[in-house]
Amino acid sequence: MKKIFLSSVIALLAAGLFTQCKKDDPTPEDENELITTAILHFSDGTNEYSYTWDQDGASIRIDTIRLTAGTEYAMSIELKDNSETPVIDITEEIEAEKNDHQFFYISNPANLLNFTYQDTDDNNLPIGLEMKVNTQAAAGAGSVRVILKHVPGVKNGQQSTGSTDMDISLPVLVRP
Amino acid sequence: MLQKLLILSLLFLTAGQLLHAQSSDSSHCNIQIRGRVIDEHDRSALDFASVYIIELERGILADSSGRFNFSGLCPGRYTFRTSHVGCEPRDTVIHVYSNLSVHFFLEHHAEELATTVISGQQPADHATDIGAFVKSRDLRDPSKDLGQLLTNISGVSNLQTGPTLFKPIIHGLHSDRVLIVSNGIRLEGQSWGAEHAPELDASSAQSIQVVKGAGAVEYGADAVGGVITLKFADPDFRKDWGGQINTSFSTNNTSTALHGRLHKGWQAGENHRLAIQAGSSLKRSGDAQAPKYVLSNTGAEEYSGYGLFSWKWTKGARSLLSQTLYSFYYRNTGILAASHIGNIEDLEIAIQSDRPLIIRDRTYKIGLPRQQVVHHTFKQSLVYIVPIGRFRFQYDLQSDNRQEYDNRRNGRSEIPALDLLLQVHHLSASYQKDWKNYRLSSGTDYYYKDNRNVPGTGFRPIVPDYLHHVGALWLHNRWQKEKWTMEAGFRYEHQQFTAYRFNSNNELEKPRYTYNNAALIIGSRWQISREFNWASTLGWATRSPNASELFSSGVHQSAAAIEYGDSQLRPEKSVKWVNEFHLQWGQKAALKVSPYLSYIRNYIYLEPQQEYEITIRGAFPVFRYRQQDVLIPGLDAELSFYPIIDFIKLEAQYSFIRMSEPFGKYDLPGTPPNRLKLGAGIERSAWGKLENVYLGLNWTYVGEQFHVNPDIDFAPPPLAYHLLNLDCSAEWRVKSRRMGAGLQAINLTNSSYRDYLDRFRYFSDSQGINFTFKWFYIF
Repeated sequence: MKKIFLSSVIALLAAGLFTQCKKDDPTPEDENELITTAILHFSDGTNEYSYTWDQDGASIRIDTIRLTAGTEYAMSIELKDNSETPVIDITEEIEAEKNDHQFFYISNPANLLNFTYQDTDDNNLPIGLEMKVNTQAAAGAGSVRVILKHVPGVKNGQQSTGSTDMDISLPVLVRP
Repeated sequence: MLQKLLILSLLFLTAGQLLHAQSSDSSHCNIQIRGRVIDEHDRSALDFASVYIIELERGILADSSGRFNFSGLCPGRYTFRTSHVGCEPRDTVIHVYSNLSVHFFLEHHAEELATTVISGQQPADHATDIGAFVKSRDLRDPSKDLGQLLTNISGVSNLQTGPTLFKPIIHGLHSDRVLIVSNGIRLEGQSWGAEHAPELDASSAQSIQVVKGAGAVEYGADAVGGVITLKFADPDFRKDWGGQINTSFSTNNTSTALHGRLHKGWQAGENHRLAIQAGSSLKRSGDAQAPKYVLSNTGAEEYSGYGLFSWKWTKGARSLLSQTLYSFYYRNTGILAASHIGNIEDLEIAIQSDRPLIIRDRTYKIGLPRQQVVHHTFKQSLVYIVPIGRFRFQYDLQSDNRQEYDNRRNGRSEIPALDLLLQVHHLSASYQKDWKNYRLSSGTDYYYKDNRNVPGTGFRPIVPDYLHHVGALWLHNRWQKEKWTMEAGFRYEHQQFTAYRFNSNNELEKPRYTYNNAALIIGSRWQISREFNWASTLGWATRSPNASELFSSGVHQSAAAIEYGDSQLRPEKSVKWVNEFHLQWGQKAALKVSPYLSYIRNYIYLEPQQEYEITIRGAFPVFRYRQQDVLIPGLDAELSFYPIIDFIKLEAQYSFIRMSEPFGKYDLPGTPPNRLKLGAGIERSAWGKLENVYLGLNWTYVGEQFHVNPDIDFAPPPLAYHLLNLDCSAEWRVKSRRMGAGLQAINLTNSSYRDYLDRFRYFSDSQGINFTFKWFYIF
C-alpha cells in the first residue's frame, strides 16, 4: 500500500513538473484600443483643408489650423489607428457607439472659433463627429482642444462625465 | 461531537490540589499551577503539549508524560491555551486564587498530522513570535475578507480599493512584502498590485495568525513586513460526522454569506484510518453605500470550496500520513464606476466633485470595470514518522488567473484588458526532530513559477511573461526552558528570474536575473519576573524586485499615471527588530507595548516625477520605480483593564508608525496614519445558559496623515475621522450541539469619512453604517 501510494505521488510530481519546463515564447499583443491620429477636415463650400494630430511612437506631429476670419466651415473629425496594418478606422467605431461617446471642442480664446454640433445620437444628445465652425470676424490666434469622452450608459452632454479617450490641442491661426 | 469535547475540555479540578493554602492577596505572586494535558478519548498523556497563558504571553512545554508546572503566578483570571501537534488549540479560563492542580483535555488525533505544518504555526511552536490570532468569534462571520478580519490586530491596517478589496498592511508594508501561508502552502498570486486582494477565502480557516516580523524561514526569505498564516481545522479520524455552518447578512451592501463544512473519519483497517473534510463558501453582495450616496458598481460575488483527504497508517512507533488537498476560489469584484478615468484631468474633475460622478440605483449587478480571479490549489503531502524523527514531503500546485475588464469600444468590454495566468509548482522536503527542550527542523524546497499573459487582450501587457525558479535550504532551531525560549532560523535562496518582454520595437527580449537571497531570524522570549515578560525578534529578510517593479512601462489605468519600471533594481534587504514588553498586574490590568524598528536598504517604491507625458489621451503624471533606504520606527500598544468586576473589560489600542528615508522630512506615500481604539465590553465564558458571551462598544480614531508630502499627491490626505462600532455575540447549546449568533455594527453614527489608505478616497466617501447579523451552528 505504502509503495503504491509513494509511486503514485512520484508519478504525479513528475507529471506536474516536467510537462511544461520549457516556456514558449509569447507573441506580441495587437493593440486595438489605440488612437494614433486625429484629422480635422474643414470645408468652406469650395475648398477643403485637413489638419492632423498624429503620434508615431515618441514623435508627435501637430498641424496648425489655418482658417479665414468671419467664415462658416463644415467640419468633420476622423480618427485612425495608424500603428496597425491595415489602418484601423476608429471613426466607424465611434459612429457605431454614438450613444456612448461625445466630442467636445474648446476654443481658446473662447470666441476665436464657435462650434455647433450638427449630429445627434439616438437619445438626441450631440456626438460631435460633424460640426459647424464659425470663425470670429477679426483675425486672431489661439488653440482648440478636442476631447473625446467615453460615457457608456452615463452620457449626459457634460464634459465632466465619463473617461477620456482622447484629449489633444492644436494651434489655430485665423487670418483676415 | 465537538460539543462533547467542549464539555470534556472543561477544566477538571482534582481533589486535594490545595498544596499550600494561600490567601488571594495579589501582592503574593507565588501561586503554582501544576497539571497534565490528557487526550480526552483514551485518557493518555499528551507528551510535549504546550500550555500557554495568553494574558501573560507565557508558555511552557509539558514533559513526556504530559505534566507541566507554572510557578510564580499572581492571583487573577487567566486564559490557558493548550495545544498539541495535531490538536486544535483550546482555551480555558481559570480564576486563580491559590495553588491548583488541573487537567486539560484536548481533542487529540494521535499526532496524525502533527506536521501539517513543520514548525512555526501554532503558538507553541513559535513561542517567540510577536503577533496575534484573529478571535474565533470574528471567524464565524463568513462575509469578512482576510483583510477585514485582521483589522482588530494592532499594527495591521488595510490597503483598500473601495469597499470590496482589502489588502493587509503589516507595519506599513504590504503586497510582496507580506507573506501569506495557507495550510502550509505559500499563496502565489498577482500580489504585486496594490488593488489585488489575496486570492483566498478566509472563512474556511480555523485559525488565522499574524506575525509582525520576518516570520517563517520555511516559506520564504522575503517576509520583510510579516507573515499571515491560515489553517483549516485538522482532520478528524474518528467515525462520526461533524461540521459547521456559518452565515451572515449585512445591511449596507445587502450581502449574504454562507460557509459550511463537513468532516468524517473512518477506521479503514487495523492500521489504517481515513478522514475527509470538505467545505464551501458562497458570498454575494450588492452595491455598498456611503452615508450620502450609493457606491455604484461595488458588488461582488465569491464562490470557493475545498476537499481534504487524509490517510494514516500506523504500526508500532512508525506512522505514515498522507494529505491531499484541493481548493478553488472564484471572485468577481465590481470596481467603483466613478473610478474609471481616462487621464489626469478626469481624476482632477473627480477630486473636485464631492460626490462620485456616477451614481446609479443600487443593484447586485456587477458592471464595468471589474476584476475576476480564479485560483486553484492542489497539495499532496506525506509525513513519515519514525523514532529518529519526522520526514515530510510535499508537492503543491497553484494556478491563478486574474482578469480585469474595462469600458472599451466596439464590444471589446467583454474581452479582458488584463489576463494573467500564473502557475506555480512547489516541491519541499523537511526533517524534524524533538528532544526534551530542543527542536531541530530543516528542509529544502523548490518553486517553479510561470507567469503568462493570455493572448488576445488587445493591450500591451503591464507585466511581462516570466519564468522564476527558486531553490532554497532552511534550518530552524528552538530551545525551550521554563522561563526562556529561544529560536534561530536561517534560509538561503537561489533564484533565477527570466522575463519574456517586448521592447518598444516589439522585439522579444529575455533578460535574466540571478539572486542569492538569505533570511535570518533570532528570537527569544523571557519571563523576567512574575509580572513582566519580554519578547524580542531580530530578523533579516531579502526580497527580489518583482516583474512589475522591473518592467512596468505605460499607463496604469486605475491610477491615471504612467509608470516606468527599472530593470536595474537590486533586491531589498531589511533588518527588523521587534520587541514586546508585557506587563500583568494581577487580575486588574495588562499592558503590552511593542516598539519596532526596521531599516530597509534599497526599498523599492514609486516616485512621482516632476513631469507629464503627453499622449493622445491627454497628459499623464509620470512615476518611476526607485530605490532608497528607509527607516521605519513604530509602536503598537495595548492596554486592558478590569476596573470593577473581572468580566467588564476596558481596552485601548494604539498604533504609531513613521516611514521615511533616514531622518527625512516627509514620510513615504502610503504610510499608515496613527490609530487609536478605545473599547468597553463584557466578556464571559459562561453566563447563565449562554457561553462565550461578548458585548462590546468601541471607538476608533484614525488620525490625519500629516507626515507625507501633500504636494506629490493628487489630493491632500483626508482629515482624521472616528468611528463608533458595536459588536456582540453569544453561544448556547441546542441538545448537545452548539449554536451562536451575533450582531455587529460598524460606523454606528453613519458618518461620512475618507481613509488615507483607501485608493478610492479621490472618488468617494467610505462605507456608511453597516449592521451584520451572523448565525452559526456547530455539530
